[in-house]
Amino acid sequence: MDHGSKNFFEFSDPVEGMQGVIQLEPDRNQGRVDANSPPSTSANTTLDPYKSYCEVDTALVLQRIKKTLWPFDRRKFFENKGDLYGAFWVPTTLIFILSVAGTLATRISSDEGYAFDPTGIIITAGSVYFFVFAIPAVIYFVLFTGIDITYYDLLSLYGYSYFAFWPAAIISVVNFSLIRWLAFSIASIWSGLLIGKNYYNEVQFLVEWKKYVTIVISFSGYVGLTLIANFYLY
Amino acid sequence: MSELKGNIPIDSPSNSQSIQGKIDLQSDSNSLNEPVIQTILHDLKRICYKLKCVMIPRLSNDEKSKELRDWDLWGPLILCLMLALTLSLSSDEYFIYSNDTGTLIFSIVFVVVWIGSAVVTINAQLLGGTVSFFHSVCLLGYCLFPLNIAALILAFIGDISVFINLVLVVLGLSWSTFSSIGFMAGLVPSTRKALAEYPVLLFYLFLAWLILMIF
Repeated sequence: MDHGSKNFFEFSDPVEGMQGVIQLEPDRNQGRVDANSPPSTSANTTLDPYKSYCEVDTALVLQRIKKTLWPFDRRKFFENKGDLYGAFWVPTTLIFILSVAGTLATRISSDEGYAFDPTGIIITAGSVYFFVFAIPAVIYFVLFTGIDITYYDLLSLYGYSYFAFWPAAIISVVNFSLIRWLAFSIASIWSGLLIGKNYYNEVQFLVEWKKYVTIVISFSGYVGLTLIANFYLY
Repeated sequence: MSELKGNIPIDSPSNSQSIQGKIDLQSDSNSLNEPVIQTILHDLKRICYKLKCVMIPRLSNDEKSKELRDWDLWGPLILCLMLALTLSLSSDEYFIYSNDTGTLIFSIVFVVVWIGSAVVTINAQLLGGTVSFFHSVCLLGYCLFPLNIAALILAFIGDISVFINLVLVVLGLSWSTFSSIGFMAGLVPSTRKALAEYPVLLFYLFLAWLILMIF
């Protein structure tokens, strides 16, 4: 059927027993067919406030990781603000390394066949994530209430400081108790120093009890990890 | 066969062209009338088609992501369940003195696959990628297929030697990672490529290590 120069759609559906014609009026105001329109991106409105904390490049993340290995630098760790990328993936990789090293060490050092126990993974993951997220929360809400540091900066620094435990976990595959304790204690002190040096200025002006509690709480995360690793994992 | 066909003239200043086309409406409109078996087979065929597209390395990353644009989570669910069942049933066989290991392994695999895919996708989104959440989860799920095959094979020949286990798992791991890593890297600015690729590697590495530990 010819419908003249009008736009039309002709349809037929023998199953439903329908057929017909839909006529369309062209919109004279729109001239062009834009064939290269970009695909619609879903609005990530829930993630937008966190995006500003992840503006890092590969080189910057690697540089920050290297900085955690030398905590004696007087300069601030982050130039202007922390990043959540390192804060999450450094502890996550640590969980993986701890699980691998732990099972490897127990397999090497035990004489008979060793059964794979997945509860180790769960406990490691639970405790590391708990320490990484809860301790900056305590410091932020309880101790640093008047001070102008955001929770995310604390979280970022804390997450990055766990990098010192990677070598400790790997060294501890050699399953000698002394080496393990030594490696993890050194890693704890190393990480604690990193945080202490960074926040030295702010902590100085706190009330006395707050100072001590801050120090204790900061170290408790590392000490907890040391204890769990030594008693449970290896 | 129900279809739409038509003709839309485009008036451009130089000449008038027209778009002609035909849309076949049969595939979805009649699925209520056909028997259940046919619908299931139809869906399975679609899943297999997507699996082939993702796995065979001859397609480039852009083509792959275009194929998966109509994502579905059935394929990843089937693969994840297969992997979790294989691992948990195998671990029950070997470690008979602790019956809970099987269920624990099943839940670990399930949780790690889904939450891991979600975390990797959110990571890519936070780094500036513009990708639909389910699109990326779908792709990561489909790329589980090589590790799944490795686990299934190891379920039968896992006792022979540790070396064979290692080789098979490493093969599966590298196939999975190479299939999905290009997609992830394409989403974010080039200075952050490694940041988006590393979590994918960690994700599959963890699953590969789990497979290796159980067999």
